[in-house]
Amino acid sequence: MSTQPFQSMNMAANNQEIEGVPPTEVPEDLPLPSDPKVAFLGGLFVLAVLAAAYVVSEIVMPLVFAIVLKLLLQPALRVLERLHVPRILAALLLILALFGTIVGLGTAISGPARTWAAKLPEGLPRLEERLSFVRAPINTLQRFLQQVQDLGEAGSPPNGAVSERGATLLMKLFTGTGNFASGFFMTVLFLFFFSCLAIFSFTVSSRYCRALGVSVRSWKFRSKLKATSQRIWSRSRS
Amino acid sequence: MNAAVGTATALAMWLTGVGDPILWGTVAFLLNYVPILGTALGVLIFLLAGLLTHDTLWQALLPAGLYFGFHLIEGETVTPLLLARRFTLNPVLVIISLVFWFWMWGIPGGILSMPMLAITKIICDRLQPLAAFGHFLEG
Repeated sequence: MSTQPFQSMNMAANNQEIEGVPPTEVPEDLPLPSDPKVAFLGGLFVLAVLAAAYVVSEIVMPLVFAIVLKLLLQPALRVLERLHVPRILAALLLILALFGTIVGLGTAISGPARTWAAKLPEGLPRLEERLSFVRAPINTLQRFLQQVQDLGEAGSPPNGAVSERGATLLMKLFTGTGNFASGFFMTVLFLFFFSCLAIFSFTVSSRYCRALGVSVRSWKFRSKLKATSQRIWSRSRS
Repeated sequence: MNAAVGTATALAMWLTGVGDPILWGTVAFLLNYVPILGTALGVLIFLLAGLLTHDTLWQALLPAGLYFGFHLIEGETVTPLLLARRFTLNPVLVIISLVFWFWMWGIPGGILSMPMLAITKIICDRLQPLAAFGHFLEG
């Protein structure tokens, strides 16, 4: 199922087409990074960007809002510019119109929204009555869960204090799954981080060696030569 | 498109006797910005409104049904014909992005998640080394 696109972005895409930029097309060949270092470093970069966006959200969020508003209002701005309205005046008019619409709509719907919010608690018994046909399956599910819980309590050790304080089978299942998921996620994250670190250190060290005039190939050759000579020496001794 | 859905929903709410067409039109307009989850939430809200307003079951289900019908016509027929051949997003990534940005930035994050995903896709489509990722985002 293709997701419905975000309309403003479509507008942006159309505008780009108007400006003469070719439309978005899937290229025939989609090159994947052949070097795994690129992928790992790209991943690190994305993580760093997300961490920065989390820490300094007070700065990043208004900037993103500004970019999105610019994309949203760009077509209207073009129309106003075609009508020979100065760009700054057009931008001001559009911002005023947008915020005026938001305030106006907010004022218009605040009254009815309050009425509906007040109506909801009153209508809850009526809703329960209407939705009585779903009560039977819910009761069945509750009974099943209760049975599972009883089974868990019966399966626990006969020590009364422990069984009272201990978690039921269901709780154990949930907490166990949760622990496993969080542990798995942390493991993947750590593995990713350390592999990135290893690749980074390897890249830096190989560059350092190259800068010192020691190539990796010659180092490997020397170590191989050393190992072979040691083997020959040990055979001759034996 | 969102404005059209909002207007149609407002008219439907007025015709089905739920009342407050401006409120429901605005709700439909805003929820249409959120793919998949917005529609699901909208159906639930209109179902509750219908159940609170009408006594007979079919009358109570009518507002939610009409809203869902408008969404189907708009999302599956009109928009794909006009725009979505050029621009689609992976539904799974849409939900993940929505949940992630809502968790990170709260409600503003939820509002900005779709534009940010769309901007990322447009950038990836324009840059040859990131074209594969752009294709992945397209779904």
